[in-house]
Amino acid sequence: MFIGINMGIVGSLMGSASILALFASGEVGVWFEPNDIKTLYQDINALTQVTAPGQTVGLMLDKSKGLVPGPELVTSPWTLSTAGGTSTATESPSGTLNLTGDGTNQARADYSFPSALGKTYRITCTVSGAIASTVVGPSQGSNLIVNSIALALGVNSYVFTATTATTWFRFFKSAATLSVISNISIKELPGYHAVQTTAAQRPTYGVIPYGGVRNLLTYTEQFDNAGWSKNNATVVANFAVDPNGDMTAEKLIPNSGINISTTAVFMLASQTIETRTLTAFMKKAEYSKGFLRVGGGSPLNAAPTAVYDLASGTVLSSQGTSVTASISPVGSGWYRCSLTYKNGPNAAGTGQAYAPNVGAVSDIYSVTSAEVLTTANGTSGILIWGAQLELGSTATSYQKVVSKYEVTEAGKASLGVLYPDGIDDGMVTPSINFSGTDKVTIWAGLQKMSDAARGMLVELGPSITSAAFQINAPNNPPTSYLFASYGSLQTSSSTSAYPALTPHVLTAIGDISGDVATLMVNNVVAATSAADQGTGNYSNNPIYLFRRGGASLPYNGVFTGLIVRGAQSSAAQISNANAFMNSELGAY
Amino acid sequence: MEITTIACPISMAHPEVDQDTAPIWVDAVGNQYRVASGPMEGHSPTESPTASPDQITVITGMDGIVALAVMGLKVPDDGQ
Repeated sequence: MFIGINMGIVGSLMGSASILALFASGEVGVWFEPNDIKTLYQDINALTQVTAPGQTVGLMLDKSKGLVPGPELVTSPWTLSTAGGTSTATESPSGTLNLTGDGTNQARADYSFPSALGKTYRITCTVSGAIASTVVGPSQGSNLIVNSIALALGVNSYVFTATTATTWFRFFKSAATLSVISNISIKELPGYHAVQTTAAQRPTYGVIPYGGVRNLLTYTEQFDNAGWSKNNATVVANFAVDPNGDMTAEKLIPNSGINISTTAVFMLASQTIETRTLTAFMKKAEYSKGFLRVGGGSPLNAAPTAVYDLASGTVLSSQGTSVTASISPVGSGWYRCSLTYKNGPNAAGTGQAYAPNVGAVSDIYSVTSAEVLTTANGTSGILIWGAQLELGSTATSYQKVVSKYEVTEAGKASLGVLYPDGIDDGMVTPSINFSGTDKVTIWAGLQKMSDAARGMLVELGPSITSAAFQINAPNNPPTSYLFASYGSLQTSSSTSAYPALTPHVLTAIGDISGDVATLMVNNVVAATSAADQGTGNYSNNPIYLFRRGGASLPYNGVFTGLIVRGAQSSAAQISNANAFMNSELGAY
Repeated sequence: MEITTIACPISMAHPEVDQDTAPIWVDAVGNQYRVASGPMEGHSPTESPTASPDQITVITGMDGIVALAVMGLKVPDDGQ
């Protein structure tokens, strides 16, 4: 379960009209909005809706056409047949199919309708009596588009994408029971919907707070989770009332007989040298001293450390390079303890993969010399809750992280997002015909998780050298973002001023004949180029999301939305769409 | 379902690893592996989490990028 106050909903509804208006004159393009969860499905046929963080997304609907279904395509009788035996197929009354197999021979009903390559169609029907199955393909009985989807009793609905100018839909029944199929409808679902057919390569749906993710830890209220390794300690989950008044605070207990400090330790992979702030909420129990440390092992003076007196609410001691420690009461005996430090450079000149530790000490301790501690009794400890690790030197408001896909913050709206994993996740649309225009405006909402390797956020075509556009997030380090627009010649504009782990709304403006490649970040022009883009228009190609050509340069981070409009946009349109994208991100 | 990360040597095949679109990562000596990472069911971690060219390596219950680091793999330096 996730809890959030969706204060953004009214603004989003009003803004949706302005986004649809961008396509009201038939402009070619797409609009993806992960915060509209009803546009997300776990499979490519829209059989299973996405309903919760952690589920993967196989289909993301394009909202640019308003998702208004086309006209009814089932307008004449079905073509009925059987494979022999005693199976029967009838249509009675008109529009209602009655199929009975004989256990061996199928009863079938086929319908062909004019379609177009890359267009998506939705079939709906009601099944009673017994279940039946369906296939879809470019010829009668073919299963090349849909390879046997079984229908359940009741109302059924799924989508498929055509591959030819004529598509054949088939209901079939093998078992010797009667399937009655009624209320049959096939209509186009307009839009260039994004899909991923390979399950392991689907991005994951998640929720983040308005303003983006700042807490780099996971299981921040679950020190009992295996993500926190316990060093000479035991954690009792949900032991006491937390600062919010809920029963989620945990007790950290040094193991019996232990006379050194004990901790719960969280492992991170990042070794970037940067200033970070580690915080945790602590409250005295039988023991009254807690500490925060980054590093591992003993003695304490090996790594940045701060020790806190949870009875007097004071910082007892701190050590380490560039360390700042503080403690603040939050009520009911709880304190938020903070440790700001810099993780490097080490003796080799690189950053340290310091592991954040949240620890308890028994009452007698020493930080700068050999530790002198009371031997623990195995039941005494302190209460801990709500750990946070963030960039920078300020302890900002606490963000609860259950998993990386479920991040919430009190008082902030929860926004639906996609998380491509930075390894193999990607999506692709059918071919979109941008060849009638040499102008494009692109809006994207995102929060990069890393600048370590080039990531392709969105690209027209599978890495082609003309008639395309692309947004890299990042480009090769240290370039933060790069927008390329090209007719017969490639031009790009880029900036290095926007590091990872900060949310941004990007706007990219491309004009081949006008030789414009402009990149805006958070509604401000960050880079522009007037270099020659050659001649011609953009091309007729799929749009690839999160990977180049679905095969390389994976984007690693949060994705909150994309609008691609094959037209020049006015200042008001650019500003309004930026405001809409920002209403679902909170970047500025 | 847990996050499952699979590293499959180029010479081998695995049903969850797409031969055409799975990215290729390399180990310290340049052996190539096709990798897949995502929520999957029914996979057990291999006893050794270190990728080697004579086995398909599986890690479960860990962020994919961290898992690939544990396997000793990195993105090839091909200067894209």
